Amino acid sequence: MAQGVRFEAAFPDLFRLAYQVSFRVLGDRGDAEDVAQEALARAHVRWVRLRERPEGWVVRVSTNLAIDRLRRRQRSRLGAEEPVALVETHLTERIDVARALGHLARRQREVVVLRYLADWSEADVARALGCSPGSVKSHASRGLAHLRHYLDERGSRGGDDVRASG
Amino acid sequence: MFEHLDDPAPPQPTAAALSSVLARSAALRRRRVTSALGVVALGALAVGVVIGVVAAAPGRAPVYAAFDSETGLLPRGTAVPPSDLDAVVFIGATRGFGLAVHDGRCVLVSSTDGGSSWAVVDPSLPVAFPAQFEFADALHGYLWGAASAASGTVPLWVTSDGGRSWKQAAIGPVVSDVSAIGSDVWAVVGACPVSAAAAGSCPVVVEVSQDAGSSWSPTGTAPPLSESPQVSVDDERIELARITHARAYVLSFSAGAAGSGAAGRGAAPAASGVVGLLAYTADGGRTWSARPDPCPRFFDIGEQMAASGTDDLWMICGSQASGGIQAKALYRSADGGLHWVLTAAANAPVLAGGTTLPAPGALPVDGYVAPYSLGHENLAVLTPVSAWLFPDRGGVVETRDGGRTWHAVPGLATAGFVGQGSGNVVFADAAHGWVCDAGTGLWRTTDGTTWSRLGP
Repeated sequence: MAQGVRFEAAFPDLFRLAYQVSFRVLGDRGDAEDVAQEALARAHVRWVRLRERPEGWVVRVSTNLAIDRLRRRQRSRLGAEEPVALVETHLTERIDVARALGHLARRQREVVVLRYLADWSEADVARALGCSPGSVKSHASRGLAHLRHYLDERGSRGGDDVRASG
Repeated sequence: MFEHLDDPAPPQPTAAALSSVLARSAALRRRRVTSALGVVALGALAVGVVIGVVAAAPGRAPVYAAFDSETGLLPRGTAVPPSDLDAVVFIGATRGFGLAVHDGRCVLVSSTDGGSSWAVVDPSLPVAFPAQFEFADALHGYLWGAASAASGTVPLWVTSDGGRSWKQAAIGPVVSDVSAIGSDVWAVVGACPVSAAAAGSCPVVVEVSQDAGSSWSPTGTAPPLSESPQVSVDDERIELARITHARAYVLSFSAGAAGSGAAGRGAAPAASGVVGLLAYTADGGRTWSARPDPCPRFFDIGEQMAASGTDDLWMICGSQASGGIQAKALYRSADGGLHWVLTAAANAPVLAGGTTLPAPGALPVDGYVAPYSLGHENLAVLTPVSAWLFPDRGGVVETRDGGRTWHAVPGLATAGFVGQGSGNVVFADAAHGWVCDAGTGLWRTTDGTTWSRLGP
């Protein structure tokens, strides 16, 4: 974790983090790189306030930007009435996960994103969000239950036959 | 969990990427300055109009940045999102109190608008979560729970300034439940510290305060029941239900009979060795009488009760629980607990020793009630025909026919409630109710039927 460092010094680790979560949602290198750069530009503007613990903020903003971009991408496809083809192996899963994340309560989404999209430990998530590890465990458990509920529901409706693994 | 979605060859954070980020950052700053200047200009033009309408305008949406990002003690008045509440109580249609956890501390918050907005009152309560609390009015409240591992004690904390400060009450060592009617407060107190090594049974007394918790004295006699000192108060195995200033019930389902005169179910031992005991007083605790506990064998792992009136008692009995389901039975009494009628059951023979109960009505098998639920506030009985139940992991169900049939509350589902966790359901009156799904969200009804989500 970066501790009060200059932005330029923290940039490599934060970029990798932002790119990772963005790519997990978008599955497109160009888009994920663009989202990572946008998230870090916004972080740079706020660096005085973020520099002690910027990672949680960067992950949350990257995820939100990636989900927004995924939605826009879908809308533009639908608007053009193009046939939706699987251009990437896990595209439907990414879309389902992004949609399901959108259904989570704010705090649950933050915990699930940090814990599972960014692969943080419970202790790191707790430090980033300023809550107890027990609270993280509780939010993560409930968030996953909600995710599975949503994904199962889509599956049972004949939607995309994908599930979050793990 | 999502490693299979990773890019096998992610781009490296190059100097060119950093330059691009810094350029974007500079553009953002310029855009901010331009926007701010534009806002100032527009604001100067619009100020006259704004002055005219500002009094009638709704309040600004609360900003939760401080709660979300700051560590340490939060300033009093910090906005708290309803989705972060873990429990709520309401003393009227608009005034409520809640508990939340922030930076490892248990925080007291309050609302004056029916739960739409919440603000910190005490950023560091003297108890850890899970804690229990009750408010008799806007000033007088009571806080207890979360046994100290070191001392095994569960003190009671009392406030007389709306939760801004707390004093420890001179009763203990283990406060299990509290009920206040105005300034008349009762507390069920175990006489032994909680200890895993302790054996035998521990007497239970009822302490009474007539001055909102400042001074206490035990009732004339103790109720004929006891508590196991091995049991943590978190398990909610003692419950106090007060109907009037003089009439009250105390339920214990964790310990053996305190004496031959204690209530029980006769000779048949419970599958778990647990014995439920129910005691009743009609004279403010001067005397107590035993009442029969209706929960049958295999349905006696946990019990919880609620009352809509002096003579209308509801008792929900729970079996072992597993995989999100639990066998349950609802008994009702129309004579203050002297006689009980099986009203509804949720049969799960695999969890109840192969037993099924031939009940006329049906409870949902999904979700856990006592002893697997948290707190005293997940069964709300409003009238002899209507009640709400929030079993852990089971969502909220309601009955409108006295407990014979239960169904998910349709308005809650359409308002986005999923209910996979634990929480509480409370009503201030027949119209105003709240469902708090701990750490997930808060929902409210103002007509007893339609529900809406409060906050993000």
